[in-house]
Amino acid sequence: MPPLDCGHVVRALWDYLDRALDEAEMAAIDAHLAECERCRAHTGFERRLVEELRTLRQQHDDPATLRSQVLDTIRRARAEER
Amino acid sequence: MKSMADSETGITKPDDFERTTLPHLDAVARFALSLTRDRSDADDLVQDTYLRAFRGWRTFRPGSDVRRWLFAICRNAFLRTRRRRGTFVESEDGDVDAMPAVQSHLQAMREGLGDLFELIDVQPAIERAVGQLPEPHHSILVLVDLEGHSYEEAAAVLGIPIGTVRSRLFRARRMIQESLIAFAEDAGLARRAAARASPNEPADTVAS
Repeated sequence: MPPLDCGHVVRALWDYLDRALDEAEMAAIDAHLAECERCRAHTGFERRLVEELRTLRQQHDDPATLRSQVLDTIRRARAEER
Repeated sequence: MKSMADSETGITKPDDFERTTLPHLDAVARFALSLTRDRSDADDLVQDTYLRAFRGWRTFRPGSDVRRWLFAICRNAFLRTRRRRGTFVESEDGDVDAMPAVQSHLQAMREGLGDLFELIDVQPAIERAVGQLPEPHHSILVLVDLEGHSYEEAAAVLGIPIGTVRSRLFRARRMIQESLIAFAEDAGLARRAAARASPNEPADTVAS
């Protein structure tokens, strides 16, 4: 794959961060980033944004109670069907 | 082990519902919490999801992905709730790439906000920005960025092409980024940072 210009790299930036490109494209962008400080700065900024978003994922703090409530809901729905 | 469905008729059995769907309860609960950002609303959404799933169990195709099926029901139930509350805003899709986000970043750099993540505690601002995202961008962002689904998996949950997932996701991220930059500007950080920068510093452009 020929060397990429900055425009190509920034257009593919999020696909690159999501690893949604093929191996050759990933390698070509890696090679560009190794040489281009500005694109590296853009990539670092967008990567940090995506990482911050991923930390918003939450776990339910009382799964046992929720499970019990869901089972009750299913039991009532089943009883209504009969 | 009892099969989930009659292998000859392909029909699901009512008693298999709990055995098949409950192992995914934690994932559905997490997804609901990501969508609603409110524990009580999330619990209601989970109940609604399982009730709708139970009533639609006969339509579930044995062998297909039950988790994906539950997520789709959950997301649709969430959208119905939002519509009832009048908070549903449909936005146009378009061909979106990362270029506008980079331009936003360039603008932030000019204002001295290139190290935005070091200047402010971004978590509250990001959380608020995610909560304010319009549909359908909000659901896409939750599925891919918070829940870690691939573009393909998100497309399957939402019943849309992968290209649409990409364009909506990228637009959502750009909106979050612009909200963060606006938050920093409103906090006066841009002015303070710009005052430290050289007044003669040339404006940046995206090269080639």
